[in-house]
Amino acid sequence: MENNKTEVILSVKDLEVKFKLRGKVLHAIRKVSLDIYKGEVIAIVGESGSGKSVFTKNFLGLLDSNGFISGGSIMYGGTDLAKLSQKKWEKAGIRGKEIAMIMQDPMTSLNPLKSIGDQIAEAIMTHRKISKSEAKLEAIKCLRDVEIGDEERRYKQYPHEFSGGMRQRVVIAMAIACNPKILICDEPTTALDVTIQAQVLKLIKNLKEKYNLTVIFITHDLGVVANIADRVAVMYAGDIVEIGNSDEIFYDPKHPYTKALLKSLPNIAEKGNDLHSIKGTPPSLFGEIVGDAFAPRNPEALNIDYVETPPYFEVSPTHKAKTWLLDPRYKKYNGEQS
Amino acid sequence: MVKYLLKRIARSLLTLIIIITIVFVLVRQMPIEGYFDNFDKLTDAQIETKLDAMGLNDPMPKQIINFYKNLLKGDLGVSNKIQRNVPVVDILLPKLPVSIKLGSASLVLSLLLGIPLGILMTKYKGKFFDKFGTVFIVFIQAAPAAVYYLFIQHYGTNLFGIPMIYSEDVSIFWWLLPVFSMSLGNIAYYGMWLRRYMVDELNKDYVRLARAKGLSEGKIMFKHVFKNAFVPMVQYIPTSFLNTVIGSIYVESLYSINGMGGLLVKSVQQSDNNLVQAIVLLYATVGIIGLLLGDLLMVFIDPRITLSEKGGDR
Repeated sequence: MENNKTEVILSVKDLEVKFKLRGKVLHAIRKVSLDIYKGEVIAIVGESGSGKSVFTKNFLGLLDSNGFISGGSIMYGGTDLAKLSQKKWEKAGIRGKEIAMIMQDPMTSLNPLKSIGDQIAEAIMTHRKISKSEAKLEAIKCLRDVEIGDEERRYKQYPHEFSGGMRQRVVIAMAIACNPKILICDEPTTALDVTIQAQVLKLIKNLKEKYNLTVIFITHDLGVVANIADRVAVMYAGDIVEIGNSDEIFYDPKHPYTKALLKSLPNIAEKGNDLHSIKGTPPSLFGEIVGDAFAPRNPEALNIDYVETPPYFEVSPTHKAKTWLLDPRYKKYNGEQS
Repeated sequence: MVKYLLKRIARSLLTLIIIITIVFVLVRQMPIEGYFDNFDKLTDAQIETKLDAMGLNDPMPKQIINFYKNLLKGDLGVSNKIQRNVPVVDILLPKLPVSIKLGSASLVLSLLLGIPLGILMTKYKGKFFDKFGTVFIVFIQAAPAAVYYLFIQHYGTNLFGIPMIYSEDVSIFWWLLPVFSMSLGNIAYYGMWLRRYMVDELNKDYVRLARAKGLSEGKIMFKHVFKNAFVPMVQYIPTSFLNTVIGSIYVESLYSINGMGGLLVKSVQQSDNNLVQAIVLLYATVGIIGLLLGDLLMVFIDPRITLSEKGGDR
C-alpha cells in the first residue's frame, strides 16, 4: 500500500474552470492542484457549490456546455485531459474504460426503457470488440460482483423493477464493467437511506480491492469519509483549502473552515445543545476573490486574510493547508500574545 | 392480460354506444324536413303517414332499439336529401378508401419529415436550424390552413405544370400536393413535440451516465434520447392519423377529391339526418379505435406500462 501510494495516477496542476452564466463569468475552480495516487481512496468534501463535482467532471470531459477549462492541466498516462476536445474524448477511450463514474441519484441514472442488462452490455461493447452474447456473460459477471442475486433473470429486467439500492448496484456494475483504473463516485450514497448507504459503501470498498481501483469519492457527508477514505481534500469556493490523510484531517484540522465543518458534525455536538453551524454563505464566484475565501465567515479571521491569499503550509509531508495560521510569523506573534 | 384487454375493449364499446345514443337523440330534435325532399308540397296527413312508415312517431326508446337492430344488420337507413333513397352505407363505402389512402400517405409523409425536423432542431438547439424550425412551426400553427393550402395549390400546380383539380387520369405525382398540404400541420406538430421531448431527455441523468460510459454522441442521441422521446408521441399517432382523415375536408374540396371530407358539412347543411348520424357514428368509432390503439402501442414500447389494472411508476 505504501509503495503504491507514491505512484501518481492522475495529476492536476493549476486547474482553472470558468462558466459563462447570464453574460457573466463565474470562476468555479480557482487554480487547483491535486495528485491522486494509484490505489488510494481520496475523498473530496465541501458544501454545495464548492466546486467538488465540477472539479471531478473535468476528469471525464463532462463539463456542462457553458463551462470551459481556462488554464492548467490534468495529466493522465501521458495525456493532458484538459486539452481534449469533445471529439477527441469520444475517440480517446478513457471515458468509461479508464475512468468511470457513479452518479448521485440511482433512480434517474438508468434509462427506464432499456433492460439493465442491455445497458451494462452496451458499456462493454462500446470499449471492446466482442459479440453481444459474450458481452452478456461479462455483464452477468459484473452483476454478480455487485451482489445483485439471481443475475440471469435480473439481467432482463427494467430499472423500475429495482429498488434504489439495487439500482445503485446496477450503476456500479456498469462502472466497473470495463475494468476502469479510476472510479469517481459523485455522492453515490446521498440519495439512499442509511442502511443501504452502509451496504453500498462496503460494496465499493470490496470492489476497490478486487478491481485494484483508485477511488475519488465526492461527498459532503463526513461520516462517510471517515468510513472509506485514505486521504481527504477539503474544498471551499473552488479551491482545495486543506488536504491530508484522514486521521490528520479529523484529529488535527488546521484550516478554520475544516475546523468549522468538523464542529458542525451532529455526533460531536452534545445532546441538548444546538448544532454548530457556519454563519454566512460562501462567497460569490463571479468576481476575483481577494485573500482567504473563508475569511468573511470566520469570526477569528486575521487582517491579512482579507488582503492576501495564503499559500499552502506543510504540516507534515502528507498534510498541508492554505491558512495564515500556519505561517511561522503568526505562530511567533501568537506565542508573544499568550 | 387478456382479461384486461377485453375489459378495455368493452369499455371502448360502451363509450361508443353512449356517443351514438346521444347523437341519435340529438338528431331526432332536428326539424323533420330533413326526412323529406319535397316537404313543402306534402299535406299534413301525408307527412304523418310517412313519419309513421319510417317509425319516427314511435316513442324514443323504441326508435333507439330499432336503430341498433338495424345497425347490427348493417343498415343505417337511406339518404333523404343528398342522394334520395340511396342507402347511407352505399354512399359512404366508396368514399372511405379515398380518404384513408390520403390519410395514410399524409401520416407517412408527416413522420418522414416531422421526425428529422425534431431531431435536427434538438441537435442544433439555439442555433440557426432550431430558430428556422421554430419560425416554420409557429407559422404553420398560427396561419389559417386555408392560406397555405391555397398558396400550395396555386403555385404548386403552376410550378409542376399539373392540373389544379382531380380527374381520373392524374398520376401518383399529382397526389403529392394535396398530401403535402394535409401533412404540414402534423409535420409541425411532430417536429415541435419531438424537439421538446428530446430536449427534456437530454437533460436527464441517464444521458449523462451514458456519456460517462463512453458512448458517442450519435449513439446517445439515437439509442437513448430519440427512442425515449418518441414513446410519448407514439400514443398520438393513431389519433393524428384519424384527424388527418377527418380534417381533410378542405383539401379534398379544394382539389375536388371524392373523399369523405366534404360530406359531413354538406349533410349537416341540408339536414340529411340519417347521413349525419352515420358519419358521426363512423368518426366516433374511428376515434375510439385510435385511442385504444394508441394505448396498446404504448404497452409494446414502454416496459413500465403493462396491461393490468395497476400501473407501474408512470
